[in-house]
Amino acid sequence: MSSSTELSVQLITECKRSSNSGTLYKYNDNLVRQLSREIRVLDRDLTALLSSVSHLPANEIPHPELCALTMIQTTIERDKRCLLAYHQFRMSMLKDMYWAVGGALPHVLNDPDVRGKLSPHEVDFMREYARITMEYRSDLSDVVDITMGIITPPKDIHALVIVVRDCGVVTTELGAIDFQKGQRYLVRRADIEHLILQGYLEEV
Amino acid sequence: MEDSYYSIDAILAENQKLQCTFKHSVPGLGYLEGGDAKDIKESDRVQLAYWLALRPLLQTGSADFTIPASFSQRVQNALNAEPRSVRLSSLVGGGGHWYALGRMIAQLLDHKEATQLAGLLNKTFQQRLIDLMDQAQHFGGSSTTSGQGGEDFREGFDATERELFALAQDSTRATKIWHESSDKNH
Amino acid sequence: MAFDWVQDDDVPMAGPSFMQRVQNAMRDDDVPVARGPTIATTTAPVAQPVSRLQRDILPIEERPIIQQLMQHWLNERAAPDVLPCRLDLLNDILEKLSEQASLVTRLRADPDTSEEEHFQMMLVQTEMERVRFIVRSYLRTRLYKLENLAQYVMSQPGVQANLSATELQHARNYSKLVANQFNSAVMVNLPEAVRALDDDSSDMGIPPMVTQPVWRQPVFIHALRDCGDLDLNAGEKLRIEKGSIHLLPYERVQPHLSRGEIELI
Repeated sequence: MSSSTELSVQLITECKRSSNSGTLYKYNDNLVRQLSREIRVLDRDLTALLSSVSHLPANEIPHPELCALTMIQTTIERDKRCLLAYHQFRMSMLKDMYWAVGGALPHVLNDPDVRGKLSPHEVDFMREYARITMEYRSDLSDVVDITMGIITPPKDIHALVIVVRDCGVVTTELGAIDFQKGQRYLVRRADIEHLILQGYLEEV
Repeated sequence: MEDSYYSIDAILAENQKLQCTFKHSVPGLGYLEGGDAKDIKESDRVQLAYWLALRPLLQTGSADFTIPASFSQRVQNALNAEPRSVRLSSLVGGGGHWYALGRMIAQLLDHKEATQLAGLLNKTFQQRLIDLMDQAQHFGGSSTTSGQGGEDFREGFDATERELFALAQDSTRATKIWHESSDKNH
Repeated sequence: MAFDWVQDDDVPMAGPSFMQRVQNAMRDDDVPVARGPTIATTTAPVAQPVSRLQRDILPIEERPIIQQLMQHWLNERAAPDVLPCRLDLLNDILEKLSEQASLVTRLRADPDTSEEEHFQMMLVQTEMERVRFIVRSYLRTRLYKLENLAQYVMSQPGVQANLSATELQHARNYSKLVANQFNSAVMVNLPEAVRALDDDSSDMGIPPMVTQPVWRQPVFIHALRDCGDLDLNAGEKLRIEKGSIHLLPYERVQPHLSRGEIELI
């Protein structure tokens, strides 16, 4: 149990590696199942040990048994903490991905590379997160778009962009623009920022 | 380091092992010793992760622990004499957190020893920080630890210091770019 | 043929407006410039920009509204908990942005608008985008914090009072979403006794499952008033004088912040 190949250590190390490389790994269903099973086994051990001393008043349980009980309980708590931290870590990454594409959920879920890494629960999570965030946004959506960038303050209302992926005809404040791949356009930043976030346009 | 229930770093830090000596037997947990024994026996020495050692050490009084080599008297003496000369990365391994380990150990000591250790951690950190920041802002050159000495110092950073150094470098770089840009008056 | 296109005294600008900069620049000239009627001179007087030095000590509520928003934004970014929502300020600013936007649209469509005026309007629009940026960042910073602290928020009516109705609803929705996720992906496979989502073993050094704000987080404060003596650890006291800057644990300065005696930087 105290080796570096401990299941809980493996799960958390995976998170650290994922965090360091900035990439989402595939949901480790296997490891999650094994760790859940370990908790169930430990819980059975705990129950068995408890029954073996249940005839004694609490302050008369011998030290060896008391110590064993606390150590098993601690391990169960530790495994639980690691399972939850793993899922929480991935939820944070998924939320970051959502905001990175300006809240365009299909852009995340329709990417086969990403979709293949999510568990069914995580797909549900993303959908529901998008839904409650839409609800939050609807209050102010006609006056301010909170999905636009918050890293660099705008210095210019216009941006010079080049089209790197076909995005067809886009309605802007100057009218409809047919963005041709490889061409440059001077456009209002607010009109097309989401296209930059989603990778169709690049700022020159 | 962030210390929340879900914090990956906090969880990893608590995996650090401590050498524990049990004062009585513990049934059924012999596998912690790595061998075939069914139970832990009185006086057995077992390497336990910090998170597992906490209750036997503090709550049930079932074991004592040995202060790890990274905080031995020899190390403490060296740090008190010249904190910048000690390679913390050699004590806890390349990615190790020396200060975090120190904080964890302090929780296990009595008040007097804990205060002393805390003082050592603070003093060491503050003194090393001066050179760390100096180097970060001058991209490797400083009056006290320049050239090869500077490189040795940086290689001796623990993980926390390494993070700080990277942040300080990024900040210096960004400030330089801002100074040189023509847009800063807008 | 002059017409007003900046109606309000309180132009929502992040700094001195273009016109103010132009006017100030002209005063630097030795040669007096004859100023006939232009769009600049026919506008309603714009509020004097408060100089940085004055602004630095001015109580937050006495500053122009954009500068107020900027300070609340800075406070929000530095504080570990969620501060009272300045919805009133936001609504004022958003309303003005809306007015400016319609004004600009009208003028841009007007064939009588001059080249120079078109250029000026572009600058006004840039300022507007910068204000929108701050509004966005303010709201997103709050959103980020209330999601991380969702469970905590839902258990603290005092904190809930700091949120707008929309934010509170989102905190409610989000904490339910996370609980559902944990329950369906993890807890359902674990023994019943292990399924709690609110364990607290802080006596044994394990952080509580309900994440709290990091009360001892260090923050840089700038005192807008004399704040007297602050109690530090080990019986030490620190005198906080008007205009001084200190690095202190948030929990020590939080009361001063909520009374507007200090700002976070």
